[in-house]
Amino acid sequence: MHNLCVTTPLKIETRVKVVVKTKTLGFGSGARTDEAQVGAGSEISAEVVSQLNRALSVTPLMHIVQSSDGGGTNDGYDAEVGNNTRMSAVLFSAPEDCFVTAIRLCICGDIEFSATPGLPSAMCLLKVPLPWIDAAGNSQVLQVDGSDNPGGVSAHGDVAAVALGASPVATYSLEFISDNSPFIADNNAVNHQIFDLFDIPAAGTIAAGYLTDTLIAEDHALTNAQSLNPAGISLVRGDVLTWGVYNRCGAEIRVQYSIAYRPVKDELVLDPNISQSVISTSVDNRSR
Amino acid sequence: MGCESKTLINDVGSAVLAEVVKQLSNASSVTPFTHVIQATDTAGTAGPGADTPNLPDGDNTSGILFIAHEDCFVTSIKLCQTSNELTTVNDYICVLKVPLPWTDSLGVLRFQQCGFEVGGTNSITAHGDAVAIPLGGGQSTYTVEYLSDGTPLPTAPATGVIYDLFDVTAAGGPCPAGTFNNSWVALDHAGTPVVSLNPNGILMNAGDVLMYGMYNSGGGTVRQEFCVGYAPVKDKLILTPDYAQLMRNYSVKDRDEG
Repeated sequence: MHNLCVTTPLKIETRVKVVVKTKTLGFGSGARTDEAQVGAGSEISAEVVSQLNRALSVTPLMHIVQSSDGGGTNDGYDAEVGNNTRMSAVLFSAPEDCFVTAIRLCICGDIEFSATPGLPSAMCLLKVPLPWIDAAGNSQVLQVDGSDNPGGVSAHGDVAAVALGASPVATYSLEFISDNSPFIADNNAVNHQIFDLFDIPAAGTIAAGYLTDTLIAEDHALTNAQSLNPAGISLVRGDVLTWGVYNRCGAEIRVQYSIAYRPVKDELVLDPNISQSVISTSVDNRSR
Repeated sequence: MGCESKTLINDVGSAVLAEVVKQLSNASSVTPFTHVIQATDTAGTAGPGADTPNLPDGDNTSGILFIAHEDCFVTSIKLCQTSNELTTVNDYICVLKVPLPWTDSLGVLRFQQCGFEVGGTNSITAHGDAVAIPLGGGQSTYTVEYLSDGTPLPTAPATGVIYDLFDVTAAGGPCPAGTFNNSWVALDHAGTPVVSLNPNGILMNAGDVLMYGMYNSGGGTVRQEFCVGYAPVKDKLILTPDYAQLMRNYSVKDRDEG
């Protein structure tokens, strides 16, 4: 925002959003009489809007650690996911409406995550509002302790045996779930390589109970694969992204992550996309 | 003050300008949701020492929540206690804002440090007061932004709930003297009245840090996760009127060419 200087071609991206909206602004509306003063409806305004649309924040690349003892099979504050164990954690909490555009992961394992010595592994990402309604219609608060609360109805996700994200009552949304088959070189997701979860085409069918006793769910039914919306994830103030994994690849893994998001709520589109029109001139040949 | 509320007379504005200003005012960034880790052995009395998230019963701990590299505005401090609750009248939690450099209660200019030397020539190096006066008292230039016992923290369920400290009104009598002794909060301090966060947010100048302190008297080891939300744009802009006049069509009159 400092030292405004229009030196690059303007590029205003278009994305489809649900809550974080795309707004088309009538460019020049109310500005015609003020052009001389501020250049409203000028390249300056266009550049400011362009900068807003491309503003970016990113979290550091760091290990995912299990939030609590009740967040999976491992102990709380543990980055290691042993073979045949489950782990979950909150990756992101939105203090204001924002838009997540990248979820970088790096799986560091003693074996490729895609290995399937037996049954496949699975990875999942939920978006959970605050408060959220579970599949039984109960209002729940955000929690990172899956099993330590009265009634056991404490984890994110469904509490009844329905597919993740399939309940017509529950207000969380299933953003991503897949078995481990797409985590391969073709998708830049081999061991120790940083990749973007948005680039992973989800595959497979996740068996019932695969992510039980984690922050994802106390229980769930068979769930079909779900890829991330390539346009990004709209987050409303208070939403969290909750991640979970079931490791069955045959050896221990650790996962690092970094999340990129747009700090500016909405995407602005100028219409028309450039400012002042050139005033046409002609010779008045009419006789007087 | 580093961050200000600026009211702009919108005599030149348009709906475009109003929308841009609105976006700037609503912009937000957030730190990762992660465990609080004690940075050094001298950051608290916690038995396990540095590099651990564990706060045993009867110990205190401290650390840095946030560093402002430029003027900004903190709007959210999400916390979550796990393993055990921190909800008794004897538990305490505090947040300090410490400038760089800062002046201690004796009037000595100090620089922010992670760790201090108890009893040594540089023994008065921790943040907070080094003498037996209330936290934030004396000539010190740091401020107590929040100080409360554990009773207003979430209790149903007591652990695992993500909450915003801005939503938790401080409670309890004065924090007993010495609660945060030998942590980064203070080497020594007197009884200090509780303080709630300003619901409008925390103004941060470039270099300011937010420091937390916790004292656990809950009966079991506590771990805590946190993230800090902030407005990356320095000032809050207000347009008045809030949006511009619509373009007014000029009146039309047939040209008299007769």
